[in-house]
Amino acid sequence: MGADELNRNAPIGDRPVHVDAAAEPDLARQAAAGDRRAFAALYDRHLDAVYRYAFYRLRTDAEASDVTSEVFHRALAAMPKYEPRRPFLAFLYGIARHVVADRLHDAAPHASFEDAIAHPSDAPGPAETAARLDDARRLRAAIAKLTPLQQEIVILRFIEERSSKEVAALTGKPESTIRGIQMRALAALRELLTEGAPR
Amino acid sequence: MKEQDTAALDAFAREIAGYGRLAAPPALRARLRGALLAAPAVLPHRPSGFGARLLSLRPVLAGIVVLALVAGAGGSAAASSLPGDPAFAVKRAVEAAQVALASDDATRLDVLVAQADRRLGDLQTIATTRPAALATATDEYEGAVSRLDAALTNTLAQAPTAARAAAVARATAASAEHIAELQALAARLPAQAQPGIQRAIEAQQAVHGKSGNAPGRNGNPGRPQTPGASGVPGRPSDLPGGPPPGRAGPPTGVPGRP
Repeated sequence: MGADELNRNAPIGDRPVHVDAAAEPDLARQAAAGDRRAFAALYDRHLDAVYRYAFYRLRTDAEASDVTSEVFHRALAAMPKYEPRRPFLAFLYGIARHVVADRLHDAAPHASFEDAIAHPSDAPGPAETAARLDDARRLRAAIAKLTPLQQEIVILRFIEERSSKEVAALTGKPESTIRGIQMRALAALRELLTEGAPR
Repeated sequence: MKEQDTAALDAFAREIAGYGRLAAPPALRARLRGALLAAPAVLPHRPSGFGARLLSLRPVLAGIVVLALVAGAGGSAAASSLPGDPAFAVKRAVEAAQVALASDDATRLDVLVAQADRRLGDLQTIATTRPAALATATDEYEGAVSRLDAALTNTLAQAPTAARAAAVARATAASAEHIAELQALAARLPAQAQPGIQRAIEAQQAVHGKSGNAPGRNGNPGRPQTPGASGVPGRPSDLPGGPPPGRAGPPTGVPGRP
């Protein structure tokens, strides 16, 4: 679907509108000019990525939801100043990094890995969904024990599957640094997950 | 790092990519989407000095360009166009220029009330003649109400003057009329059109609630005590004996709401 072919019959709050990557620059320009529907299409496209970033960088699901909400509201407010040549997701990640940093600065220490395992999912729905969420929470607790830069690299590089070049642009670090850190971060994470696995 | 270790880490990376990719909760998705679409319009930053003077000419230039466009692209086609028509973009551009050219916030509010009136008329026409375009017409109506809401918020934030109070009174009365019209429209539309109409009603209720709480209203100091004293002719709130049922009073229940 292109920028001019948004599903204008879709009710607000219903299923997300799927947009081709090629249409994104046009949508971003329209959103920057105040087109709220274009912004909604970009929101549909990137909500999950922003939520995952917040989920894995913070301690609780509720904080992840709060931060995701704040990121999109800040993005909406900043749209008149948005530079259309920049990828929209990079713009969102930039905001997300600041919001998460503010939260972490104000927050108490992270929940422990043991806490995450001791509080299994209370999520409604099929057992498979709940089990998946529990896996994600275990992963989050392990990621929380990495350094902040390692956390960002693991999330962006391996969960979001962004290229080293994109991660370098997002974090402001040289690509060689990203490549150097990513394997060490991955090894540390594997170690943490192995240590915490139920025996 | 040994080749064997690298391969093991690659496998581990694939594993966490698989179970790490959770999605945002559906409740968050719907709630946040609605909140973003309903958020007040964001006005671009206005610089000061020489740049500001140059920029201040932009609405005039925009108006000239739009008038040229209208003349060149068939003004009558644009004027009679409905949401979803190709010429509707020209009509909207003309309307945007009218807003930009408004001399003060009270005038701007009046312009936006008139535009919301037109979108309501478009919606009613489309409901009868072109039901397939109902969602587009509803979106356009919501957009008009959103712009009106932002202008009303801005006007209410300014120091009260007679002109502003009159403009707010006109917006309030128009808002009550819109709610009644939308409720009547909702009663004759099919189920799939209800969410859009309910959103439109809620948007107008927000406008009505905001203007109804404005200084000088609801018995607050400054409220005109005599019918017609507000200098707003032709609005139900000025009728002797107060507004008629279903007009200008607080919005009532919305048909079809859960």
